[in-house]
Amino acid sequence: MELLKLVIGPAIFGFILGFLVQRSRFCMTGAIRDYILFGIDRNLKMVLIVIGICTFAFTLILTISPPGIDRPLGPGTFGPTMQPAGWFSIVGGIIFGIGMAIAGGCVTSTYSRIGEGSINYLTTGICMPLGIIMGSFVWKALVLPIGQKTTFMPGTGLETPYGLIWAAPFPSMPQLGNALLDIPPIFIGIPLAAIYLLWYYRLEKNA
Amino acid sequence: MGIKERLAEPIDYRVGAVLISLVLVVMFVLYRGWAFATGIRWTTYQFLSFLGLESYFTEQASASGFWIAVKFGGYAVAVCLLFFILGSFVAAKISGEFGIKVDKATLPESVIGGLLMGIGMVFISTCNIGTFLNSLCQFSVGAWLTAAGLVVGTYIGAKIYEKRMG
Repeated sequence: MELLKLVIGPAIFGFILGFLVQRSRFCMTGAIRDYILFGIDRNLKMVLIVIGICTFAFTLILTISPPGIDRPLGPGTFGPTMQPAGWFSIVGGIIFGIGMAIAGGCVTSTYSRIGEGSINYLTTGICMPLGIIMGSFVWKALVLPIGQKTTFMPGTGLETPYGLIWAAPFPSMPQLGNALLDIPPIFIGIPLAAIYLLWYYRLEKNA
Repeated sequence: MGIKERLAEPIDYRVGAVLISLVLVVMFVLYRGWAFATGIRWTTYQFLSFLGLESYFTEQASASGFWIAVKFGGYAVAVCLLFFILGSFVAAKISGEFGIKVDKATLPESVIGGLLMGIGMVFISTCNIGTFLNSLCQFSVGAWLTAAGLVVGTYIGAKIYEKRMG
């Protein structure tokens, strides 16, 4: 079972995704960059379809899945993915965004192009771990001193040191901490998915 | 048309997007949401352990709080990442797109871009895939903030790239 969980399952998903991403030329950087700079919306349309379908499906799964049930192959129970939030999310997003635009590909397309035999993207792939090592020093030297003085959303009961919050968007996900919205996830999922897919439809119609 | 020829055909972007979504939904139910950062961080940690520097690194990194998780559960993601590269390789090979390619003029960009992505990964504790195709689809607060940063960052980066390339 451990072999299935740790090796076979991830390997199958990784292989299928690698194949699909290469064959369909899926690129997140391209989605943002090409649309802003050149008005090319092919990748943006792809991203909107994926986000639209996944928003609906993920919020539905989070709504109907009973608490405390383990995922068949995964780590832990059905629950939302934990992602820390705070001012550093925006700063980190900007740093990451500049990096992926300069390198010409996000994490996905970088590893996809390594599979295609690109030495440039292999260089990017090797530099990422080096960046992580540098980043951990930057974090300690720069972020921690600032972070200790800041809080995010003060006065709401959600604030913690370093401006870090572990706020769950919905009350059915109590494992993350306080909830922001007192409604089942699918109530947000349906309108959001509709917005993404409508945006896709408009782009497709105007093409 | 044989299976090999059919697989070698480029996939239409709409079909590709729907297929990727379906895989992601199955993956979300059976395994976990799609993200690669944990795998990259796990690999980094293993590399440093090999050099005997991991204690120094964990001391530095654990100060960020959410770095402690790297030691656990990163293995499966690293396997996923490895087979992702293999899947792309097979796809490129059967469609005749595989080839060792080097563009020496843009190598500095590859290095700087990779380093910045690594630094950003420490801040957002995931990658762009984990943000857009995983957390954002679950209405996560962190994902919305990170996504806003990513759009701004990509715009700045694209402008820098455009200026450099003329």
